[in-house]
Amino acid sequence: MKTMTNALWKTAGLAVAACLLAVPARSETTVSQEAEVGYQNRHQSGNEAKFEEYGEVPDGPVLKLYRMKLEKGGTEVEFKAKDVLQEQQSFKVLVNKDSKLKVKASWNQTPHLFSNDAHSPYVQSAPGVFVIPDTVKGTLGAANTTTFVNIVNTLDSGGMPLGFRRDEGSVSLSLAPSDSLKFSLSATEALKRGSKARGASFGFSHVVELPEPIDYRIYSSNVGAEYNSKGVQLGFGYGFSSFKNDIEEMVWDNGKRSADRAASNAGYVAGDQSAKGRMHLAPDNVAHNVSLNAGANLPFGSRVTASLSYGVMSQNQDLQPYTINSAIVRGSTGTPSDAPFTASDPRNLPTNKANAKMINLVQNYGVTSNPWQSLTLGVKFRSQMMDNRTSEVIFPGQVRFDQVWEGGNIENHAFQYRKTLVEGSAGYQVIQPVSIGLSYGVEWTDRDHREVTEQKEKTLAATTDIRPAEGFLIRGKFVNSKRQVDHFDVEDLNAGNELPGLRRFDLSERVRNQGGLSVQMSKGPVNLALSGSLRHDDYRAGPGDLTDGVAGNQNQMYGLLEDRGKQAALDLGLDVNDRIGVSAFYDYEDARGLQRSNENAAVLNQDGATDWTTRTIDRYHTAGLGLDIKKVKDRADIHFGYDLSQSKGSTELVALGSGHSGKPSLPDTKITKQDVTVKTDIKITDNLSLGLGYLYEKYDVTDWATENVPIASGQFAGQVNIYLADASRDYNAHVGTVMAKYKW
Amino acid sequence: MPRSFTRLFLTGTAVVWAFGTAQGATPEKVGASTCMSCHAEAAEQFKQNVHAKTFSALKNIPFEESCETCHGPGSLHAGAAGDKSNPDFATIKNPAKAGAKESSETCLQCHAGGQQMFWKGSKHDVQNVSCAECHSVHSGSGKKLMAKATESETCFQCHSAIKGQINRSAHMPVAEGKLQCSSCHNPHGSPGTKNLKADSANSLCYQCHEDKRGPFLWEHMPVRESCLTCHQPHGSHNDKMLSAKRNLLCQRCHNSTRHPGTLYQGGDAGNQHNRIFNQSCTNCHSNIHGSNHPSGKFFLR
Repeated sequence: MKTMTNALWKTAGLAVAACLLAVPARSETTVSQEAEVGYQNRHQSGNEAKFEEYGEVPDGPVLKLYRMKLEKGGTEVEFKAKDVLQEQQSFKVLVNKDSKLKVKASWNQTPHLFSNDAHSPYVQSAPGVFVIPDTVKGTLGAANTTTFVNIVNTLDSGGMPLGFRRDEGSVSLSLAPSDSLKFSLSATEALKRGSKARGASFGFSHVVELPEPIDYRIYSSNVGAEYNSKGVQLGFGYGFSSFKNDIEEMVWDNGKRSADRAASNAGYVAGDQSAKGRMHLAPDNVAHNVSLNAGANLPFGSRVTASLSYGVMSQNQDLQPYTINSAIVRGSTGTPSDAPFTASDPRNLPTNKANAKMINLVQNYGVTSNPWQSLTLGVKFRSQMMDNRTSEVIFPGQVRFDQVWEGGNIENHAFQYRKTLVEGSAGYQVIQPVSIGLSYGVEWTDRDHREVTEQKEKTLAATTDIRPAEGFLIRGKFVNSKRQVDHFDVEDLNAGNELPGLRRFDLSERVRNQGGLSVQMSKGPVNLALSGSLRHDDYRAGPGDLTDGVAGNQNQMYGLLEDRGKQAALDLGLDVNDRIGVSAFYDYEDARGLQRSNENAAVLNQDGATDWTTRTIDRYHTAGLGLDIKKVKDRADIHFGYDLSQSKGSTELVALGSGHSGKPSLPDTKITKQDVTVKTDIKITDNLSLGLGYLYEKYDVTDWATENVPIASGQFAGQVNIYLADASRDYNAHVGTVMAKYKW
Repeated sequence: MPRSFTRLFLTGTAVVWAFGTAQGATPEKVGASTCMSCHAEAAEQFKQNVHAKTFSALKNIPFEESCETCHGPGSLHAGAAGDKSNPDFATIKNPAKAGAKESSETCLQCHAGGQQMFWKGSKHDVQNVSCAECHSVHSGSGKKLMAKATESETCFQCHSAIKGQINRSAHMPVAEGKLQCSSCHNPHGSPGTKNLKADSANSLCYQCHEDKRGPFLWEHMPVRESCLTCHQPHGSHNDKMLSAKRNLLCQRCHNSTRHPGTLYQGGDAGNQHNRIFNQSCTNCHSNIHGSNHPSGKFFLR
């Protein structure tokens, strides 16, 4: 990486030097610089990572910005550095010579922090290898829940951060040798390093969560050429991307067992058979993409465009064996659930590589025309084909959770699909302030290896714009779409052991009605925007027998039945006078879904007694208030701001079969973030200003799933679970800044 | 023919001829020096503008011709000498006040390729959003001459719902400045849906989330078809920007025997039931985007 980064910077430096040398010696050079440097003091209650999720908020000196611009003749060189020495720092060098040659080199760091204080009884002895002391492993297997939890708590290795950072270095070059020709070339190397929470469980009753190590290297490059002249444009592009995961697998101890054992079918529930677990992490992959674009202006205000994109994604990493559990061998249990061979031996795999490959071919063609000023017509054709060339392999079984062999042929199906869209549109200006638009499109989808193989969706959209006065716009929109299914394969559902009445929402028939109205007004000192929208998705059973012909099965649809959304927003900006401005924003959104399911034990049962229907509701309030006062005492600008983001998630059990009578709904979850900001900019001299700032942030979270996450939990009867304890927590934060901004 | 009628006819003809001559007058170019006599400040600012520099370097258009390249020939406008009641005053083209199509045609003289290749017929074009609504050539901010201080503010003029969504608890780093609307969308139009800068939503997501690209031995089919089956890219109340909270999101598609169809209820939440607590279903089914393990059919490994 260091070699690559050095090479990138050297290249950029050479390009800058070449451009500067090419400039006539007598040209005058102008240099302008800008710097923002200061001191920041922060105080945060607790150690919650959310406050710095995507960027560090340091306590101490800060270099927020440095920018230098150099102009000599027709050459510009710009250097920009932001948030220097912070996790989210970025640097950019841009060279522009006569707008014909542009060279850009950049370095950008993007952190994503999940927790400052995760805990685990595991110690990472090598990248991707997690161990528990041998002296403990045997004892956990025999321990009761209380003892298990106590032992795990004592193994706590202390607080550790959980998060990663993507560092990206990039060089790009753009050359326009003439007005009509342009070439471009770019190369990027990205490193993503850190950790994230990963489930690594041993069984239904023994969940384990580990800090998965992230060590990715991504190389990508793009080449492009474009011709643009006399109303005709042609473009060519080639892109390459290579993903490498330097940590291919994760291996971790099972605290409940020190030596492998194989058990009969139900043995995986307690998760106490294997001494270790092993998982394959994201495999290395490669992607290529070639694209051709073209556009041409035609008579009568018409234009035709076309684009063709051919992409290939492939992955061919060595497969791991069925399991790391060495005890799962032929005859190990003396039961029908015996493995036919040594499951931990990779030679017993039917193939040693996935040989995975997908081809994505996308074509878009369109014609638009303005035969006369008030009329616009358009026709569009789009086709996307995802062709899956991955080898279909039949495995004689699998090992569940590294615990037990499950026999019976299973095959990886090469799922693929084709989507084709044809759409026509027309827009007409009825009278000067009023225009209407209409579009109608049909999209066909064909799939392999899913229960719906043929699907068609027809969409009708109507819009109207009314501009009663300058700076005043009223826009209305309505969309109706009907998705129909030609054939529904219940057998495919049965193969997955699902209820015959299940209709998956991305496949099922659906009627969507969606409408919206917005008003925008900009007049004098007032800018006002109002908007509102409603959406209703009604999912339907479509063809196929919901009962699958089984007597006693209710003729009932399961899955997502309905999805509704409503939204309203107000955005106001008011210049009270030439010095004072006020802004206000409020957005409300309500998204709710209605879904039905059925609780089955060992046998699918659609008799209704164990049905349950629930409504999920997510409500959002986002608001902001701002006051800007300029030229206080002719020197200072002041900004006051308050921002609120509040969301609440609820679930309501709305219909319960007799088998669920009296059961309570899951508790609500709620997140509220409030920010109060005060900023002032005081002009000291023409070049120097002093910035004072204060931020108060308050974050409150109520989430039964992610608050109070312990390291070890045995609270639910029969379960012993090990988590990372990276709980979501409330926090308050105060940040004061003093910044000097100097331009010269 | 009566004399009165003849006089009337001749007078009317003369009036019509005079009017027609005035209306038919063709404006001619006068040069930036003439423009600067009234618009000195704007012209001086424009000299620092990327257009002024590019006109001469790339288009061989000297500064003297730059104003009229976009605003049209100005002889009649200049001749009106600031008199707004004079019909000649309004003969100059003002893209900021012109109709969307006329305004855009001005910019498309030069900006017809590259990012703007698919402008005609695009969502914004069809909705009569002109270039001048997002860009301000004379007073814009940043390299892209945005009409507002930032790109986000420009987009939120119309897309106010998105302004609310990007501030939700699970979000991409747009508010933090690491991503912008144009990181994913091309507002000038693209061949794909929603003005995305890639063939599909998945192709776009894979540009940063390369670890999810696969392909995998075991595919999670709705994931391969669209990331948006489960995720809300602009922001969500739910962890990982999911469109509904796990376990319920998963239970919309999985009702099979044993636990997928189980009704998890209030008491289970209080007792930290591992099927709904912490990462819920992905406590165990952690390779949910696809698995390359022979025993990964259910994404457990």
